[in-house]
Amino acid sequence: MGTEIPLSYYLIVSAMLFSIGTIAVLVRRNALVIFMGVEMMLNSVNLTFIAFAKYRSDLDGHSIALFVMAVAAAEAAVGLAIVLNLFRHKRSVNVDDATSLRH
Amino acid sequence: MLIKSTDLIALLPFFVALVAATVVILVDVFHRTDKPRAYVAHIATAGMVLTLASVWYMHGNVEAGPAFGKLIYHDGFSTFLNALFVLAAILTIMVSPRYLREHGAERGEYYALIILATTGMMLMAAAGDLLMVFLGLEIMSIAIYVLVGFFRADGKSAEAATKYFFLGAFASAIFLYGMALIYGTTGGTSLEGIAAAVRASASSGDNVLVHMTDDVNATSTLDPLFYIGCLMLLVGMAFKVALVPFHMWTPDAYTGAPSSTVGFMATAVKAAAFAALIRLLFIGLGVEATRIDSQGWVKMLFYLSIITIIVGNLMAIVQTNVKRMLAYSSIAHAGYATIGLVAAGYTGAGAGISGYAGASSVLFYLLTYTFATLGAFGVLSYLGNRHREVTTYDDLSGLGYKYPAIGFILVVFMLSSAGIPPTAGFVGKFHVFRTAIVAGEISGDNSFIWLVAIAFMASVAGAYYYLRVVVHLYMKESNGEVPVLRSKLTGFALAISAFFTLLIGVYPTPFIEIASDAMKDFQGVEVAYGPQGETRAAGLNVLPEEDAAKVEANTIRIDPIVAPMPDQAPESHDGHGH
Repeated sequence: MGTEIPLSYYLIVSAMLFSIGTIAVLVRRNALVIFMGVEMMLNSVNLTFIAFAKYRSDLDGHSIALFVMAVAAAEAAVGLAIVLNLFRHKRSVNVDDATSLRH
Repeated sequence: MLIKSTDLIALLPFFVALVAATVVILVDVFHRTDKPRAYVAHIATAGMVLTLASVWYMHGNVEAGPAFGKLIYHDGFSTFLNALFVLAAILTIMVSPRYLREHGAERGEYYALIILATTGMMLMAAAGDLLMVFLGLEIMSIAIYVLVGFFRADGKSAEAATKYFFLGAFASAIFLYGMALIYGTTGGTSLEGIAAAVRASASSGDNVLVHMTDDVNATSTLDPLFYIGCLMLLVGMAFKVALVPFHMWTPDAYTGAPSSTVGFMATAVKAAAFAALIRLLFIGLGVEATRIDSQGWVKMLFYLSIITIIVGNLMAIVQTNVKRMLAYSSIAHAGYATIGLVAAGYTGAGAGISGYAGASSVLFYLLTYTFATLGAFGVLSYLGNRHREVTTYDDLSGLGYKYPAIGFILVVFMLSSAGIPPTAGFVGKFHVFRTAIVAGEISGDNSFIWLVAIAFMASVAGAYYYLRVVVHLYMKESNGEVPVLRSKLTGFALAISAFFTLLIGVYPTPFIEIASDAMKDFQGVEVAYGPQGETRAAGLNVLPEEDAAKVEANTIRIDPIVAPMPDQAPESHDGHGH
C-alpha cells in the first residue's frame, strides 16, 4: 500500500476548505456564491469526518457523512428555491440589493 | 447498538406528528382550489392535539430512559419541552388560517411545515447524540426557512427568507465542523461518550488523541481541537438562540416573515435551541464545567448573556416598527434565559439540587415567554389586512378604545414581556434572577450580583418600549381606520395565551413545580458525572457531601420554590412567588 498519508494532512486540507467557505460566505455578495461557500463548508466537514473515521477504524464517521450529504441536499433544494424567489422580486441575486427590511 | 422493540415506543410522538403532517399534505392535495380550506387547519390542530395526547401517554406509561442505544432520551425534560412545542404549534396553527387567507397564501403545506418543524424540535429536546441534535436542528430549520418565505408574492418575505436561510445554513456548517472535531478527539458523537472521554482524560492526564498522534508525552488533558470543537458547537447554537453577537439575522427575518410564523420562530425555535443547549452542556460538557479554574462554557455564556441583554434592550428602544422591536426584545429575552444556564453551570450543571434549579428556571422562563410572545405576534397578525398593514407604533394609536378586547390582550402580553406583575413574565424573570443569586451565594462568586443587577436595570429600560405600545393604544389619537381580521379561531388562541399569561402570573407555583419536576429525571447526567468519589479524585470541583447538604439547606431557606416538596398540598404554597 505504500506510505499512509498522515491524518494531519487531511485535517489541514479540510480546515483550509472550511476557511475558504467561511470567507466566501462573509465576503462575497452574490447569493449563489455564498451558497457555494456554505456547501464547501459542509464538504470540508465530511472530509474531516471521514479522515477521523478512517484513522479510528470506526464506521460512525462514515455514516455521519452520509447524513450530512442528505441534509445538504435538502438544504440545497430549499435554499435554491428561496434564492429564486428573491430573484423574482429583485431581478438580482446580489444580497446587497436586498435592503427593503432596513428602515 | 441493539435496537429493542421497546425502543420504538419512545418514538410515539414523532410518529403521530409525522402522520399528521402527511395527512395534512394529502388532504390539501385533493382539495378543490376555489373553496376556503380552513378545515385543513382543523385537521392540523387535531393532529397536534393527538401528539400532545401521545406525549401525555408517554409521560404516564413509559419509564424514563434512553432508547436506540442512547441516540435519544425519553424523560421529564423531553416531555415538558415536547408539550411546550406542541402547544406553541397549536396556538400558531389557530392564529394562521384567516391571516393566510387575507394575504392570499392559504395553502395547506403551511400547517404541514409547522408540524414538521415541531417534529424536529422534539428530536432536539430528546437528543442524546450530537448527530440527533444536528438532524433535529435541520428538520426544524429547513421547515422554518420555507415558513419565513411563505408569502411568495411579498418581496419582504422573500428577503427575510434569504437572510435567515444563509445565516442558518452558515451556523449549521459551523456546528457540524465542531461536531467533526469532537468526534475526532473523543471517538464518538454520543453526549455521554463525550462526557466519559472528558472525565477519563481529566483523571488520567492522558491525551485522548494519544494513540492517533503517537505523541506519548502529551500532557494536555484534551486535545485543543476538542475545545475548538466545543466553541464551534456553542457558536452554532448561539446563532439559533440569537445571542449577541450572533443575532444579526433576527431583526430582518422577524420583520419580513409572516407574523403568524414569527410568533412560532421566536418561541418554539428558541425553546428547541435552548433544549439542545441544555442537553449538550449538561451531559456532554457538564463535567468540563465543574473542572477547577476552567469554567469554559459557563464564562462564555456569562458574558454572552450580559451583552445580549444590553444590546437587545438598547436596540429595541430605538425601533419604530413594532415587529422589529419585538425581534430585539426576543433577543433580550434569550439573554435573560441564558442567565439560568449560567447559574446552573456555576453550581455544577445538572449535579445537585442547584444545578437542576438553574435549568428548571430556564424551562419555566421559556414557558412564560412562549405565551406572551406568541400572543403578541398573534395580535399583530390579527390587526390590519392586506391593504392596511399594522407595523409601526403609530398604526396602533387609539386601537385600545376601538377594539377593547384585543387592546386589553395586547396590554397583558406587553406587561408580561416587560416583567410587570401580575403577569407570567414577572414570575419568570424573578425566578431566573433568584436562581442566579442563589448560585452566586453557593459558589461565592460576586459576579452574579453584577449579572443580575445589569439584567434588572436592562429590564427596567425595556419597560420603556413595551409601555410605549400601551401608551399608543390608549393615549394617542387614532389616525384612520384600522381593520381587524375578525376570526373566532384567532381570537380564541389569543384568549388562551392571555389567560395562561395571567394565570401563571397570579398562581405560578404549579407551573414552577412542573418545570422543576421536568428536570428531576433528566437522563444521562449520572453517567456523565460518574460516582461522586471518582469524580472528586479526578480533581473536579464537585461539592463535598456536607457542602451539598448546605446547598440544599441554603436553597430551601432562600425560597421553597427552588426545591418544592413533591407531596406538599397546594395550599401550603400561598404567600410566596409573587
